[in-house]
Amino acid sequence: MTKEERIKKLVVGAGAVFTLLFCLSPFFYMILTALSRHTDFLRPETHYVVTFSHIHTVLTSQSIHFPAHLRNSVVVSLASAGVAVFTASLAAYAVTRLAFPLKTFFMLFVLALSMFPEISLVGYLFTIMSGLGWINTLQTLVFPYVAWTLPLCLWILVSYFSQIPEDLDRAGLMDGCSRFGVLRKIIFPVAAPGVFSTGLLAFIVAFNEFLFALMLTTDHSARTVPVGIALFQGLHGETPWGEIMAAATVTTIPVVLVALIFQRRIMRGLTRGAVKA
Amino acid sequence: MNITFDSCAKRFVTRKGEFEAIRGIDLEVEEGEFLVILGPSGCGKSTLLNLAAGLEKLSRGEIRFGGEVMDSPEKRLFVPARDRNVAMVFQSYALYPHLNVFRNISFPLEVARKDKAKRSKTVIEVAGLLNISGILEHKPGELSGGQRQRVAIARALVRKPRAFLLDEPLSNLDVQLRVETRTELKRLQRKLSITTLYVTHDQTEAMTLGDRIALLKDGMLVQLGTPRQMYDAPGTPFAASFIGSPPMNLFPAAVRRAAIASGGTTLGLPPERAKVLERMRKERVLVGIRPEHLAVRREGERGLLEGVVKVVEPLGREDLLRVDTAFGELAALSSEGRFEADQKVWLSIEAQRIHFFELESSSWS
Repeated sequence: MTKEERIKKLVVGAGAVFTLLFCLSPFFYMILTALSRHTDFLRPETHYVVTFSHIHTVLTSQSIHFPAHLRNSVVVSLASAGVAVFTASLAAYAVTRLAFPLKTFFMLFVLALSMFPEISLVGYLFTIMSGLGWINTLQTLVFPYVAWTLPLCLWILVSYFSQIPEDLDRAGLMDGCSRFGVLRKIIFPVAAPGVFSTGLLAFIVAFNEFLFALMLTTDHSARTVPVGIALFQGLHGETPWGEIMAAATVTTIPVVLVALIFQRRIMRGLTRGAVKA
Repeated sequence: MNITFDSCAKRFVTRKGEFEAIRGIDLEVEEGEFLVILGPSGCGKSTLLNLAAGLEKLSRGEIRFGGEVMDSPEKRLFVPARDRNVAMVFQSYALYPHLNVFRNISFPLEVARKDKAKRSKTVIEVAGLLNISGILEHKPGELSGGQRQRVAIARALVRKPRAFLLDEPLSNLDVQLRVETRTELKRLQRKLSITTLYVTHDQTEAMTLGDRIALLKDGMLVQLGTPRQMYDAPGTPFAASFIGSPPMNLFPAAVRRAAIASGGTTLGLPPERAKVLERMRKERVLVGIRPEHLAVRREGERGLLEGVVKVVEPLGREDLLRVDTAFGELAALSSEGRFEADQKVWLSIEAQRIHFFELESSSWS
């Protein structure tokens, strides 16, 4: 190995380590705090004592309702990601396969819609939802989340679908499929990594959403995890950092698990989308 | 089943305006016939195939399968591709990348909801016919071009379609494989005696495969006939230059009595040809003669055309000579060899094989 190569390797390695530390240190701190008996474990006079009591409290305490929040979050995110991806695939298929006027305008218009700041919509959304009597229900979140993630899903899926040669559609039509059959039996499976990573992105966006969830829910029957954690503080006199971090840790686990299990498919999906946009 | 195209026309509306891909084609494909649609790129040959497949809709005219109307804008009738029971092989093969070879072939049967045992039996049968029984478990990505080609053909055959449509199926294969597959395709078509429409821009493929050839240009049918007819009696200068390799020599000449002339050189014609020329009643005509009907001689004698070799292109079995003559540069084939550039030669013309075309008939190049 020449000197230049060695230096190059060193620089690349150092960069990777720095990036990893920079990204992961908050998570690391979160987990440390969640597992520490004393939240002020960094002070020299306190010792770090491992405990699972915070996690236990979070999962079992009647007053915190964390399991209910987690359930709400998962249900709402799954439902909105599912509906958004399904609707977006139909739209993306039409956009990539059919000739219709003002296609570019349509795509840009959809993109523009997603650029409204949430705060400018939340007031009207509240009026609509209370008019429908939906405040503090799960669908009050699912509908706005679908609307919110749809443009993103559409744009990503259009880039995937446009890479699938149209001869496959034609072959499917010749082999006896309807247009919908082509979408279901050929386009979906072929674009599976793309569809999957799009779904995951939509899931994460919905899972992390805070403002709508704060304004449109009132208690644990519809409240989601981000809002639930934020409102922990009001319950007790002091800020219960141990419980907050424990809840955050538990919340992270499912997303990380999904990402790890499907790492390969997602990577393939993400890179394939990146080649041609 | 025979396929009838009745004054078919297809117009596309694009952002740049309207474009007429097919302008009034009448064509009848006989039951069990292998018909090749031949033409240069952009002549509308693929559009014609897509119309037959039901992937495109006619703008005017009518398409019938054995008397049954498939597409007629006038009668507001259109049978979609999936209900026509015709199969298609694409230039890109269009195999389903997520399914293995077996599932690819059985896909049309799955869509048609055939029961599983029957499906397997048919797939294995067709795979045997095409010698791909050994690769049924592979995914298309792991196959060579030739194997993909076979899988595509197998998938098209498995449903026992009423007609077989092929869109330049051999153009993605290398030369040797193309020649082999060509022969095999012809044998297969004979064996199954299935009505076949085959699109290509390659005149060799058209000549070797077709029972008849339909030559297209600018969305119109230029000539329809057997390969022999197309070669022996081209109807237009375009047909003359498109069919046959190397292409026919075409040059303008003045009409004399039982002869043609250019630049002070006169070429006598046999009585039969002279009669044809006379009937045209023209002062100048376009003359066509194939390179293989010109013999190159080293010594001159009366009645031969004098010239100078400009370029020698060895083709292996014979040499293609470009000879500068009073009638312009003519291509001639010679198996004798040892001709060199700038050498003086004499061309002997098989005069009964000379063709005449009207000069004004446009775009003969």
